[in-house]
Amino acid sequence: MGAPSLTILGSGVKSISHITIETNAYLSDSECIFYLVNEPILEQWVQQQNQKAVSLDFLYDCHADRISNYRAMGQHVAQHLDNQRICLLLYGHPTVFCDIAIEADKAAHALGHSTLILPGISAEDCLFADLKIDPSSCGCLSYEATDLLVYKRQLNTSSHLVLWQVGMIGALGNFKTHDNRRGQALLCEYLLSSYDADHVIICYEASQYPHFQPEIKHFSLSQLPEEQLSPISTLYIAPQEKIKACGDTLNALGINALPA
Amino acid sequence: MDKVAIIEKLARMPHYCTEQVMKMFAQDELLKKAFQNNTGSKLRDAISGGKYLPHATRALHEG
Repeated sequence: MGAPSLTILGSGVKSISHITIETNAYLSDSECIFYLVNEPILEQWVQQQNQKAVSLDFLYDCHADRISNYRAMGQHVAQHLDNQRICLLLYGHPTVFCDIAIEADKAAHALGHSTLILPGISAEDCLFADLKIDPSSCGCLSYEATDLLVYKRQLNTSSHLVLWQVGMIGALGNFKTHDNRRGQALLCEYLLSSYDADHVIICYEASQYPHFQPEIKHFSLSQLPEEQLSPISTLYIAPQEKIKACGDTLNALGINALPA
Repeated sequence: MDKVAIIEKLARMPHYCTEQVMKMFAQDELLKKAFQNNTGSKLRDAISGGKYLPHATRALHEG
């Protein structure tokens, strides 16, 4: 099998540290790197890896809504394939809470090019490690905050809940000047329909530098409207209740007792 | 000061000695302070001069 025309890679969250050996190999071997990263040192590092490293930052403001900007980025990358080995490097995991990878993949396929997507370390992976949570322990719901509110997604208070992009609720365009207060109040109201007001929740921001601690702040759900949240804040809400296993299903599976 | 080299060096250190890192940050007060207080956001401010890079995020989709 020949090399893919477009390899889409994730740089992880922590500057330079989260680049895997495999990702590094593709970056070194490519003829051109398009990138969108979260941190200036990582940007400098990428530029050192390849003489032809091109930031997609300039496409951020070409449309009023972000989704159109992401489509433009995907198409821009695909249009430059021309039988070259190109890498698209995106911070975090390229297909986790990031539209550009899928858009670029679709655009490249539409033009008849082969693609490969490699995983990276996402903010959620960091959250599980830093908060010492195993999402399989009682299941885990992971929602984008605006999506949760707009589509009235179902909550489950017996599972872990991770809410992404809580610092930019309702911001469909450029969020640099976004006022998040109304969104936080609406989110609080929605969560209060399922969780107690004094249920402790965590605002989390993964560390972007090796040997630096993540930002972890505990507060009660009722305090959510007043909290300062940033565009990289993620909320973690621990299960509020435990549920009992279904006896009929246990019998049907031949399970006599569950381990404590 | 080559900040890329410093972060790359930190990334390769499973354990570090504070003195060793402070030596690397010696020429830059802001970096030194960020490291002493272990504040990643201050380090980023010190490195970027407060100019954050835009973020790739998920946009709201239909359905």
